[in-house]
Amino acid sequence: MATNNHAPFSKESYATIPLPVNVLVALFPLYVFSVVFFGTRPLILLCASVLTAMACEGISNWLMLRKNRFQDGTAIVTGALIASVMSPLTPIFVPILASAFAILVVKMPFGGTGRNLFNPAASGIALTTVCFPNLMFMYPDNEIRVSITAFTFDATQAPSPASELFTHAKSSYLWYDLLLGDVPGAIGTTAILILFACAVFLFARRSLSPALTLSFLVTCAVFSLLFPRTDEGRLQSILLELCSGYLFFGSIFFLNDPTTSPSHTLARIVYGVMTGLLVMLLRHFGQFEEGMCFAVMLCNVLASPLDRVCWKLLHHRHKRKEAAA
Amino acid sequence: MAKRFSQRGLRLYSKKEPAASLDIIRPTNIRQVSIPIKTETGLNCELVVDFDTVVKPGQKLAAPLDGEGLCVYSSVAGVVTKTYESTHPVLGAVTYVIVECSTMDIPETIAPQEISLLTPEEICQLAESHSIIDELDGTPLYKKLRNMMEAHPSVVFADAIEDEAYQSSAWGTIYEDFFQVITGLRLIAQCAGTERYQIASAMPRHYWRHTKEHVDSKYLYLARPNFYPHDDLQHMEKEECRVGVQACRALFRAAAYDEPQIECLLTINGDAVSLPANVRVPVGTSLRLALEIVGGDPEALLVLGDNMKGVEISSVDVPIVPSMTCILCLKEKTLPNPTVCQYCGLCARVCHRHLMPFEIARRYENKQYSFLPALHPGDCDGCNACSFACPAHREVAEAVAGAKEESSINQIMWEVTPNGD
Repeated sequence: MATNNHAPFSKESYATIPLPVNVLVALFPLYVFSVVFFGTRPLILLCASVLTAMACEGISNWLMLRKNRFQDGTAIVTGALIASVMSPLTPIFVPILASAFAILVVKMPFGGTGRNLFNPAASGIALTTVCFPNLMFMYPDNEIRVSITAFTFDATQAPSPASELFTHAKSSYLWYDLLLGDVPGAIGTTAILILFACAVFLFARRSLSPALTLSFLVTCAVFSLLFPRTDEGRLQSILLELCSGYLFFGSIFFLNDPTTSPSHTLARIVYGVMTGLLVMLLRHFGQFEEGMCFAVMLCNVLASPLDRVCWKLLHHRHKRKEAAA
Repeated sequence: MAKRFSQRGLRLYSKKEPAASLDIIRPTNIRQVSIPIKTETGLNCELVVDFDTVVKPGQKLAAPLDGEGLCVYSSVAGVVTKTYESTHPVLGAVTYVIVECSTMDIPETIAPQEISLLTPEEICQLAESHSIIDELDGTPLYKKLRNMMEAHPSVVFADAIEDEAYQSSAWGTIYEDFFQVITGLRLIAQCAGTERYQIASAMPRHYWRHTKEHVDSKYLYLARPNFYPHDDLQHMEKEECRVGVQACRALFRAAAYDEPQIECLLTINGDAVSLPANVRVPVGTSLRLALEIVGGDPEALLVLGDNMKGVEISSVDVPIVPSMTCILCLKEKTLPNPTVCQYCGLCARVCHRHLMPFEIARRYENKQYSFLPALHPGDCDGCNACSFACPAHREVAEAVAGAKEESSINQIMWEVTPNGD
């Protein structure tokens, strides 16, 4: 324990609950939804992913001779986020591989929590997306309600809204199905209304930056308004683009990783706009139906420089104002 | 309204209750007081009374050696016994004179004299001869008044914005003696040559209905409550027009009762105090006695000043002087261990000087001193809001202070040996 010998002496009134706890609380209703909706398989994927992430973190900290092996809940969050964007039909080795890659290659070699350059969860997803695109994007048909357990290998598959957009097929999903999550999709990413509630909760807890999430979503909406990929009208295009894939999920959980996103408000807005543009470009011209993880990783590199540039801009303005006053 | 949203700082939870609404406590069992007569900053007096002399409250004890400066007055009725030297957390190395109290009578309430029309110079002399000290920064009031006479500020404020969480001594003064404060402030405004004078306070509006005397709202400047640090303070500093509330009250009492500043009001608050309260004590009372009155634990962590900017004091046997307005008594002697910075940006969001404390701290801790000047750590005014807001419990403000020092050294070196790039 550190001795309390200089100001501020008592800190207990501000930011008491750590960020990983808030994120895990926000993820909980998503998992309840997916267990009700899909079956027990999501929980198995979650356990596999989280346990792998924690084991990898423990081993790396042991190798790095650190006393505190599971420093905070960040490894749990990484594992849970990776499991959330898996399809319920994904074999169990895929989230394990993604978590191990995220922790062992992306996070720990840079020094662990708070020092990583790329978002670990997004990079884990990126690896498995590149290696096993078929396994990542095969979603169970929501019309045939079968409970997916650990031993389900041959469920009927259906194209998700994202893949329909990708192949320019006619969309077969209605707006309320999209909002309620009654569409084929990954574990934690389909229920848009629950995700919206999570976002409000995290905004209130100050774990989430409204500037980042909102600028990202607005950019995506404007882009899909201008360049629709569907013939059913521009408003339908906005709804489909925002509710398909894990764009909404990523805008809350991937984009807002404090370590890899900028801290300055203006920088956050710029960062959100850039990521939004990249996601939409990857969706239009990319190889996969969803490019969120690649866009996040590409923009991670720019987080720190953006911070510095934007701060300088605003600080000079502030100084001029002060000098004038 | 727009300013209120763009203001940067912390929203604090007020801990002024119950001290702010309780009546001021006046101790009656004081045995002795130690009054400073010679300090490192300011006072330089010699005793003018002999030992074993019986003195009354307000009687002159010591006068300045070279004839300039403040005199020292006895704050209690008693016998002068001896002098001794010691150190004080506010004043540095001090020589005290001890007055053993004989009786502690509650002073009778006398009707104030009619304050005659005073010229600015007379008001200055009043403040000087009654040795009034501004409790905001511990400077003598007459020096501030002289500065004001030259600067001619457009408006004079009595600063009762206690933007930190615990302190409520200025509010307590206003709560009991609003008339005295506002009349003293009127004298100060008269001295500064302005018609406009206001009491600036961040107490919520409903508090003002319960003051002992009726308050006219034209005298009030209501600031945003529970907000730290208050940006209006800086505006006031620029105009050199801030005076303490207790100094205003003391100036009134000097004019009306011909009484020097012999009392001071301080808040004793914190979780190790059983009855947090404002206490009015004679100058020189031991802090131990003040703690006894409110049931404070002398073994707990003692802080001079408030939570955000205070300093730890090691001993309780410290005589109370007018510039001490708040004492915290906290149970917690340890803090949770700091963890790694996650760059959440909360410190940058609360910094009212528009700095990036996390970036400054990172560069400083990595010893990349050449990056520091571009980040302007010199702008930091040490409000400690970044340390308070940090969810990882890091001492960000300390690192920024180190960076400030380091970058100033760097600047000096650059000035001596400038090179091309």
